[in-house]
This record gives sequence, structure tokens and C-alpha cells, in this order.
Amino acid sequence: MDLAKTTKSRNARAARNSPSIGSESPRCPPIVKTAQPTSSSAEQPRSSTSTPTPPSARLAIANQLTTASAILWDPKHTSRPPPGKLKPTHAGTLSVANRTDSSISVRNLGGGQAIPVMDNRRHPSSFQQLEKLGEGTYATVFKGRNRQTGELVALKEIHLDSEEGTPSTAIREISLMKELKHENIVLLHDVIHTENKLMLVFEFMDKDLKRYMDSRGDRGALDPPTIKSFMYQLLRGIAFCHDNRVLHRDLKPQNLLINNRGQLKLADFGLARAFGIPVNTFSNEVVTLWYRAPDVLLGSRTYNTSIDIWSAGCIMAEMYTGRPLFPGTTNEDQLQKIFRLMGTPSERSWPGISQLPEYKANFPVFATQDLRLILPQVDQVGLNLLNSMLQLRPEMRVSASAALNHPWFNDLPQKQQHSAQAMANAQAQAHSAQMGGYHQVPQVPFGNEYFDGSYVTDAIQQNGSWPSFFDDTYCDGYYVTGPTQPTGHWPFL
Amino acid sequence: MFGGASAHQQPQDSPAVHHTPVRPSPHANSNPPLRIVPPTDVQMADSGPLPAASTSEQQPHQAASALTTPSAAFQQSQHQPPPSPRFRGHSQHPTPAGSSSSAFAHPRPVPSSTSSSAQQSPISSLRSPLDSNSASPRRIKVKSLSHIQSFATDESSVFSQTRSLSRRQRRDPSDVGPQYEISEMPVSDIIEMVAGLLTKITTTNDRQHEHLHRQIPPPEGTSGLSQQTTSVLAFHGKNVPSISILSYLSRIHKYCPTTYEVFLSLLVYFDRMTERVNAGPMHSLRQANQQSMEQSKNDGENPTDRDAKPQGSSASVQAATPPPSGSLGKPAETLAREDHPPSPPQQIESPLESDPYNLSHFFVVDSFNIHRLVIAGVTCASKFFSDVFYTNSRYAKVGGLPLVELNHLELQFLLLNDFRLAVPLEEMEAYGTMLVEFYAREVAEQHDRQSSSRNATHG
Repeated sequence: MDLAKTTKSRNARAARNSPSIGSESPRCPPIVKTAQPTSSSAEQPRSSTSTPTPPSARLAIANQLTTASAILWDPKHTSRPPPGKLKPTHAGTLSVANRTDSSISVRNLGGGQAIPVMDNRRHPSSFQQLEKLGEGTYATVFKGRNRQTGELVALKEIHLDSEEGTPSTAIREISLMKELKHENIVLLHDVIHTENKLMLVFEFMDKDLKRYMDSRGDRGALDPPTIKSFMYQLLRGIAFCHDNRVLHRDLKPQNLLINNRGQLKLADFGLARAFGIPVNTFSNEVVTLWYRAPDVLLGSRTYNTSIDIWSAGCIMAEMYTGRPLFPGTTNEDQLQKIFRLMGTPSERSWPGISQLPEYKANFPVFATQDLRLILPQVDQVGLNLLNSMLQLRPEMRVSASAALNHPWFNDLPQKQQHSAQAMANAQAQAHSAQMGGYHQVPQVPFGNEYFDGSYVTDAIQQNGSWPSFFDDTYCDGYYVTGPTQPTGHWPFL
Repeated sequence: MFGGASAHQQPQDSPAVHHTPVRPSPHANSNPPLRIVPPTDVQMADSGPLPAASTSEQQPHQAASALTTPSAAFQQSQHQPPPSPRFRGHSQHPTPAGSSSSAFAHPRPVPSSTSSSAQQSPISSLRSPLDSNSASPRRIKVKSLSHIQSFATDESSVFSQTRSLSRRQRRDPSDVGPQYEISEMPVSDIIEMVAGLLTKITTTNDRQHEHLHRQIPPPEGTSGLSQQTTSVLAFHGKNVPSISILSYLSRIHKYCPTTYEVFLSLLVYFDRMTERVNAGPMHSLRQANQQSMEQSKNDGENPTDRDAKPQGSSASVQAATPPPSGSLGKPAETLAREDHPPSPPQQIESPLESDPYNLSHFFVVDSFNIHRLVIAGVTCASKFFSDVFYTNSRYAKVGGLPLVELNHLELQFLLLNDFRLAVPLEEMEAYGTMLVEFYAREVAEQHDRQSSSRNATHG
């Protein structure tokens, strides 16, 4: 194509004609020379005038420099606003405006600005390293204490391998967790780098869900109120990720962290990725086998948010029994364990299944089991939710935000509080929408999936009873019978 | 919510990555071997096979193995689950098959809720029928470069009408033209547009090169420089590599094929880095300029004062090209914050650092750093966006620089981006649209020139 040729030759010409090319150029002294301490006397004679360049001249030079956005959004050609002025089209988007500095990073990172974050001389000793918490292939996790505040943290040390450079897991985890600030997602305070390692500073959490179940549960099984609370928090975390177009892709009890206030938070975003941009290559080797959705097991590369919901369903069942629901040993065994319980799917129950790479016409045929018989511990409403998450067909699986509105959660005190906050949030957003003049996603009356807490004042947060009509709320055909306050069941560890 | 996957395209299984006799890239053909840094052990020529490149192919890529969480090691349960999966360095060729030759736009109305068009007013009654005609297709799926060429040179297309309109008069600011959706274009076509833009940037900025006085910091003597300046200078080579930007990008895509957003996101990252690094110095430079202007005014109106002339010219330049607002969205705040740089090393020892207006501190994309920026950016972006990526040793061979240098550059690239590689969908789409407009503009200008010269010869 012509343009390419011209640009190419232009580039080559520019390169050849540029006066500063070549090691003989006075402006580009060889490295040996610059190794000597640079001094103004060495620099000044090289400039065209022997006097220091006045700021106005420098400004003139600086104003001649260009960038991609300056060319693309050149006001001579377009009246479109540059991306910095784009408003998020819905409340949960990783918006440009929100990206710069969250309130959290302002507090914890000293502004989150380029210079303090990048200045590695500031950091290495700011945390006291305590005992080792765990070790993996690429990272070692220590408990740590912030020397200034005394706050406990988890320090994840990532070794930078020479062949691979910075691990993709680290790049994803940092990039995504810097944007995902939510009370059900573990908080990344800071990133510290040294020559050969990165250190991620996370908020400290006491246990992972697996260990919590082993230590607290009855042979691993948890009590129903705790399960309901954990499921609600898990789904809120998932919904926040999905609203921000992020798939977690490795949900399992080991990656859900619990603190001693009964909070559950999603962790380990090393396999996570952004979605929403068409034409992507998705790997089907995601999610730990036991929690992997059937469509992924069948080789689908077009999966979406529903794979996280399948994992959530597996986790819910595991919290009731203390044992994994589908502990397969291989891909085939995993599929068979799923089919044995949920029934073998067919082209009739799942149109298009025969097109999936791993589909075999001779799958052993199982009838669908009644979940009630397998999981007698689960109440009827809970089974309904579980069943909607464990749908074989990905399109049939409930979304995280819809699951949060499931009547099973209606008697959950947290939900009522969050609903009140969502309402306050909606009001605050209505105000800001008036000012900003852009469209907000309409707030569903009881949908808290867009809630991020930032608009709610402390008074409302602490006093969960406002507005009072939520104490007697009507939702999806189920009445909540009066205000249910946390009694002995509440999992204060 | 599930919209992202619906438009998904199955990757083709074409293991293009480790063919043994590697044919020279058509674009790189005319260029001498890449000589960014003389590597001792790396075969640089495009025409030669990539040494050991195929071994990284056979070994599963290990970078993506699951990291344990703080708690994972506590795991002593009898129900020890299998480990999290790992990504492998697959060799799928993600080039879409549909490089259709269709020269027709496929306009379809965009749902008003999905784009910034939500804030657009309905077509103004004041506008001519031509205008309202041009405002109707709001989202156009671009098939290929020839598709762009066809509507860039077609007088009746939305693009041409908007373009001619913009010359004539100030348009209704709410009419911003259609969105161009580029996800179905072949990646090689998108690379060509990206290369065209980057070449324009470097050509423009190269003109200022001798004024920037950049010096490559000595490897051991960087203590006087701030971390940020060190990071910026790490990309700056002392020579201009002889391979063109287009050939370089094509070479990377040939040996490390990936999806288009990896290449498109480079533009976003370069803009963010510019904003992060330059916003503060630009602000102080303007302030200093302001001060010196006031001072010279107070110093008794001497019109022949040395500063007077540059001031006048700078003011006009400033008006003509307003400084890019970049992508960080809060320029005012950024400026205010960077007004007081919290990094103490800024003010000490090195004379390079002592001058706050030293232009060598600026992040400027030019021919001296673009190749390093590109290879470091592709390395980072592939690991972030794609489930298919390669080891750094492979990226280093393809990029033509030593592995240790690429590892260093990768980290500097991440630091200059504050480790934030996520690009909001709206921002990515906006860059895609504007890139198409840029390319179409270039095509149309070329077309105009050709037809005018033709008229000149015939007339």
C-alpha cells in the first residue's frame, strides 16, 4: 500500500538525513565519554548558542513535539473529545478518570504518583518481613508489617526470571488489581521493585477459605449462615470483576481469602484477563480442574463470565459438604464426574455442543440427579441458586449480578445494608449524572452490583437501617420477614 | 455482559512461529540487518532462521503458572486440589481469515447506550441535508486497508463529507462522525496503520532531536538521575536502527504473532508515558516562561531583549499546537501534583538534573527510541492481553537486542506505565476509530496530491 511505502521511505530518509546519526555526532557521545561525570561545561558548548537556552525557546521546542493523541485528536480534523475526557458509559467501567488515583492508593502510596512509586530507594526497608506464608513456582509470600503504621501486610515476592522476564501472572495481577478496588477483592497496596524481584504488598488476610473450612467447619463443612454470607461476598466480588470486564478464571477455595471480621475477598488474579474486545484468543487451560466449567473442559475458547459462575457453584457445594463437588483426576474424568451428577448433555439439551473440540458422541449417558439427594444439607431456595450456577450450558448459567438478587440472600443482613447503600449510591450518581451530563446505567432497585461504596457517607454505612423501608423489603416474590439481625450465627472469628 | 465473546473468532492453527527456513519479510527485505545493538550471540538478519527460536516453542511457557496466595502453603488438607493451570507458548496464528476485499461500508446504527454517542444531541435542524446524511451511520466495521482507501477517496462517503466539511466551517461539535470498528481487520493491516502513525510521530519529533541534548546514562553512573529519568533514557539509543518501524512491527508479528490490541495499545501506552513524564516539566516550563516574560516586561520594555523573540514565536506555536492532554484525564490535577516533585534526587548533584527545564528529561518518541519502545511494549502488552505469548528470550531475538537489555526495558516500560496496562474498552475503541481516521486522512491527502498533479500535467 502506498502510504506504507511512503512512510517507510520517509522514515528511512529521516534516519539517514538526520544530522545527529552516527557515533561521530557530537550530540551523541559514545558511552565511554558519558561515563565520565557529566558536567554543564561538557554540555553547554554543544548547544547552538553558548548561553543557556531561555525557557521560552525550550517551550517552543517542547511545543513542537508530538504524540499519538495529539495527532489522532488534532482539533484541525476532529471535534471528538480525546480519551481523557471520555466518560465511562457505565458505572463499573475501568474508567480513565478513576484510573489515576483511587482513594486507597492516595492514602497508602503517598499519592500513587510516578515518582514515589518508581523511586526504589524509598522502599525495601519500609516493611518488616515476618514469617513465610507460602511458596509457589514464581512467588514467595511473607507476612509483613509496615514499619510506619504497624499494619500487617502480605508480601508477595516475584522472582524475575532471565528467560521469561517479568511473569505474565505478575503483569496481569498488578495491572488488574490496581484497577479493581472493591471490598470483596483483596487490596493491592503497592508494588516495590528491585533489581531482580518484584514485591507486591497486599492487605493481610488471615486464612484462605480452604484452610478456614478445615479449621472451623465440621469436617470441613461450614454452617449455613456462614455459607450464605460467604457466597454473597464471593458473588459481589465476581460481579464487580465482570462489571469491569475482567474474568478471574481461577476461582477456588484456596484463592478466596478470609479475615477475622468474616470478610471474604478474591485473590490471585494471575490467570485473570480483560475481556470485551472482540477477536481474542482465549486459552482453554484455565481454572483449576475441579472448578473448571464443562464448556471449557469441552475445549471451548469462546467462554465468558459464566466460567467464574460455575466455579462459584462448585465452591458453594464444597462449603456445605467440606469436600470438592467434582474431584476429577483428568479432563475426561472431570467431565464424567460432572455428567454423572448433572446428566450427560446432548445436542438437544445443549445446541452446538457437538461442535466443541473435546465433544465425543460416545460419552457415557447419565441421567440428571436430584441435587437434593446429593446435598441434603442445602435448603430448597439455596438449591435453586446452586442449580442455576451449575448449568451445563454456559448461556443458561445465572450471572453474578442476577445471583446477588436471588431470594436466597433476602434474609442476609449484609444484603439489606448493601441495598440501602446502593440506593444512596444511585441518588449520588443521579446528582453527578446531572452535573456530568452523561448516561448512567439505570440502577436496579435492589441491585448492588454497581456499588463501590465511594459515595456513601460513613453515617449511612454504620447505621445500616437507613432507609427504613428496606427492613421489610419485597423482592422477587419473597417477603423478608422483618429485620434479621446477626445473632449467634454470624461468623466473627 | 456476554457481548465480548460473541464476536470472538476462532484462531487458526497455523504454526507459523517456527518454520525452519524463515523467509525474509517482504518489508524488511530492502533493509540491512537490524543493528540496534551489536549482539555477540544473536543472529540478527531477517533472512536467517531464528536461532533456537523453536525451542521456546516446544517448551511449555512457564511464566503463567499460578502463583500461590499467602494462604496456599497452609494447605494441608487431604483434599489437595490440582494446581492451577499454566499457559503455554502456543503458536496459533491469530490473523483473522476475513481479509475481505469488500469495499463497502457496513453501517449499522450503534445502540445509543453503548458509546459516547449517548451524549450527542440529535441531528440539528440547522444542518444541511448533506450533514444529516453523513451523521446517520454511527458505527462502521472496517474490513481492510483497501476498505479505508475506498471510502477515503470516495467523495460521497461519510468520511469525505466530514472531511470537506471540517475545512469549510466549524462543525456542530456534537457531530463527531462514525465509530470505526477495526477488530475484523487483518492484524497486518492494523500494524500498517500503527506504523504510519508512529512514523509520523518520530519524523516530527526527530526535527527537535538536536535540541533535546539527550545523553545515554552510563550503566554504572545513574545515581544522580531520578528513577524516572533513568527509565526514560533506557530506551534511547545512540543510533537510529536501520529497520523501518513498519518492518520492525511486521517482523515482530511474524515471529511472535499476537492479536491486534497488543499493537493498538502501544499508542495508548506511549501517550500515557508522555503524560506521566512530561506533564510536570511542561507545567514548570510554562511557569518559567511566564515569569521571564513578566520579568522582561518589568525590566523596562526592552524589545531587543534576547528573550523577546523566542517568546513571540513560542506563543504562536503554543496556540497552533496545544499541548496534548494525554490520556490521564486530569491534566490540572496532574500538573498541580507534579509541581512539587516529591522525589528529592531531582534537585541534587547531577547538572543534568539540576536544570528543571532540561528537555532531556522529556519523554519523546523519536527514531532513537521507537524500536526499543515497541519491542518492550509488545512484550508487556502480549503478556497482559493475550493467552498466547512467548519467552523474553524469543522477543529479544525477534527484536534484535540482548535478553538482559530487553528484561531491563520491560521493567522500565512497566514502571513508566505505573504497572497499569489495563485499557478501558472505550479508550481502546476510541484509538481504533481515530487511527482509521488518521489513515484515511493520509490516503485522502495523497489522493488529492495525485489528482492535482495529474490536473497540472494535463492542464
